[in-house]
This record gives sequence, C-alpha cells and structure tokens, in this order.
Amino acid sequence: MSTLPLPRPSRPSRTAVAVTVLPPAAAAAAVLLGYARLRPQLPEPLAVHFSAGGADGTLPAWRFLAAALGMIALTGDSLARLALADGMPSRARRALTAGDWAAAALLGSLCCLVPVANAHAARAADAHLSGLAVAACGGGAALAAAVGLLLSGAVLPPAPSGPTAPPAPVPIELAAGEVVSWSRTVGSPLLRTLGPALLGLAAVLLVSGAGAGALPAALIGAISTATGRVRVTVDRHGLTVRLPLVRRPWMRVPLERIAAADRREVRWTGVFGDEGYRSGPGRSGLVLRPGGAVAVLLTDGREFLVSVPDAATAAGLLTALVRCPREDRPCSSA
Amino acid sequence: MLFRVNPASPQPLAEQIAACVRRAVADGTARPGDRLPPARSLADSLDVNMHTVLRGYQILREEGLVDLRRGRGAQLTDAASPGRARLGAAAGALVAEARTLGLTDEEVIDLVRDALAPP
Repeated sequence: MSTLPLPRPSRPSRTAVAVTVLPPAAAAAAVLLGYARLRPQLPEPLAVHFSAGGADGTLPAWRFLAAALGMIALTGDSLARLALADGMPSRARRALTAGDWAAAALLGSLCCLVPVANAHAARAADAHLSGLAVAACGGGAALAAAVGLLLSGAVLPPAPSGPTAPPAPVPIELAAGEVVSWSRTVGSPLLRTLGPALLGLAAVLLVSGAGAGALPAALIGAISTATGRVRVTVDRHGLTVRLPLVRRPWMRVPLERIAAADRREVRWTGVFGDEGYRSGPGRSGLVLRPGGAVAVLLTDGREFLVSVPDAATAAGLLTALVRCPREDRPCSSA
Repeated sequence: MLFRVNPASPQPLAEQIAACVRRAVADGTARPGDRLPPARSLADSLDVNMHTVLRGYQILREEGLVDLRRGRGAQLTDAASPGRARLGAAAGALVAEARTLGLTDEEVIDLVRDALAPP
C-alpha cells in the first residue's frame, strides 16, 4: 500500500512576483528619495497630522521615515503574500492585487506629501497641506487599483490541463497487531500573513508614538501567528487537531464517536470569512485553506470536517480504524 | 505522513519508524522542509516509548534526511529527495540481508568497498 503523492504547491511566476512586489517597492523608493531631497529644508520635528486649522501633530523626522517605510513594507508584503498564496481563488487574487497597487499608491503619495508640506516651514506649526493634494492621492490610488486589476491576470496560476476528480479515500489494509498513525500540518495563508503583519504594525505604532494601538495589534498578531498552523493526526485515538508547542489537543474526535469518514473538497468563495472554525446546524469544522478535507460522520449524525493536505489517506485510515478494531485484524478499509 | 509499526516484527521499532519516513519521501508524500511529528505525540500515537521515536529520527539524521534542532523538532532536509530515501532503504535491506547470512560489519563494508572500486 502506498499513499497518494501530493500535488506540488504551484510556485508563483517571476512576472506574478514582480506585479505584486514592484508597487510597494516603488512607493518606498519614492518616499525615501523625496525625503532625502527635501531633508535640508525640513523643520524638526515634522508636522505629520493636519486638520482644517493646520498642522496639529508632530513626529521626529526619523520616526516619521521609519513609520512610513514600515507601513508601506508591511501592507505591501501582506497583500503580495496573500495574492500569491497557494489555493487562493482567482477573484480574491485579482482583488488583492488591485488592493496592493492602491495601498502602495495611497501610502506612497501621502508619505511623499508630508515632507512637501513641511518644506520651507520654519517650524512644524507653519506646515500646510492642501485638501486638494490629499484628494489627488485618493484619485491616484483609485487609478493604481484599476492598473493593478488590469495586470492581475499575471498573478493567476495556469488553469489545470483537464478535469480532475478529487481522489477517493485511499483503501488501507491493517495487519494483525499493527499500529498506525497519520499526521500532517496545515497552515492558513491568511493567519500566517496577518499574524506577523500585525506584530510588525505593533512595532510601527510603537515607533510612531501611538503606543495605545500597539498592544491590541501585538495581541491579535500573536494569537493569529500561534493559531495559523495546526497538526492533524489520525490514529488509535481518533482524529486530533493540535496547536504547535501545546501538549493538550485543541480538538479531538474519539474513534468511538466516528461512524464513517470521507474526503471532501472545500472551496473558498472569498478571502475573508470562509476560513477558521466554522459551526452550523449538524456540522462544524476547521477550515484553514481551500482544497481537500477529511470529513467524519459522527455517531450522533453530526459532521466534523478539517481541511488538510493528503485528506484521502486520512479518510482511508480513519475508515480502516473504525471498521477494523485491533483484535479483528487483518482487515481492509476498501 | 503515514507511520505503520508492528511490535511483533523482528525489525526494531526505531528502524520501522525511520523506514516510514523514507517511504514517505520516496513516494512524494513528504518533501524537504516538512516537519516530522513531535516525538512525544508520535510516541503516544503509536503506543511506543518516546526514546524509540527519537532513535528513529536519529537514524534519519545520520542518513542526512532529517535535521534535528532543539526547540524546532525534526525537519526534512533539502537532501531528502526520493532517490536518497530509496538509497537509504536499499542500504537498510543490504544490512538486513547481511545479518541474515551472518556476515560481520567488516565483511559488509568490504562488499560495499569492492562495489565502489572502479572496474
């Protein structure tokens, strides 16, 4: 008996990487160059927040530059990673690419505008930012989003060459006295991007002096990072989901509660809202990514589902373990 | 990754665990960079001693298939290619056959050295 070779995750093409990485890189370069050019004419500290009455918030110049570059890098990196993530639906890829371009244009132009508004001002209070310039930044971002949408075709992976049926559970034969265990890790592209991004945002907020917002960002970032990857195990205990570094199982369905197991295909209809722990009438599940999932029908008629690579082997082994108690072996799940 | 061990088998349990990882690498179900299950949870899962699992992982480390780091667990190395895993399995089979025939370690090494010598 051999298990099914896993399909290799499709690696993004160089063009796809360029389309998503170039906008934030160009925005960061523009901010850096603009700041370097105007540096001799800037007051210290810089005016960074403006209202109808004029400048009403300041930051030391190095803090402004660090926060601006950090925000552009974090936003660009997160959106690019999500747009290129394996298994992401095409519609979401297009939206994320457009968002990547829009965010780079908006953050880049606004952060370029700050030194321009401060240039030639003797002190920060004299700096002036026109509402028209801010509106122009918004217009530029909308235009960039349209360009990103037009170029988003480059981010889409090639379509499969033909219709492919999802693999059925792999039949597994268990020998007398044999002990078996199947285990895989599964990660959520969204949580694994969001977690580090929020931790980075917390650092940026600390640097820019907005310490109050840093704590919730760091907390949510840490939780997202910790729950962004789980290990799914099928063995004599049943179906178990564990978080890394935590000894106690997060979820466990004992073998005695399982009536049958099967492999299902989970599709995402959008980027946000489809993933995570989901519960509904008669069914619940942990969906961290689209694709194969092992589904178990419980003895009380409810269904529990976990998305995981190589779900066909997991479903086959669960079927074998349910049908073939250790004392009745050898027998087969087929 | 599927682990199958049989306590009734004459093959040591640690070697059976190592063989499962080699098989997974050879048939493409495990790839370089994949993390192996933590020794404690795999031991509980297979109803064996944790040191037995660690000994299995140690065998794989000596073959260059696994990187063992404190706090990071066991991870398949870049060298964990299907061909390398098949070669490790073949070497294991050679040693098992040699033991059956009653050959000493030196005699097995001489056999391999003779095979490596240019014709």
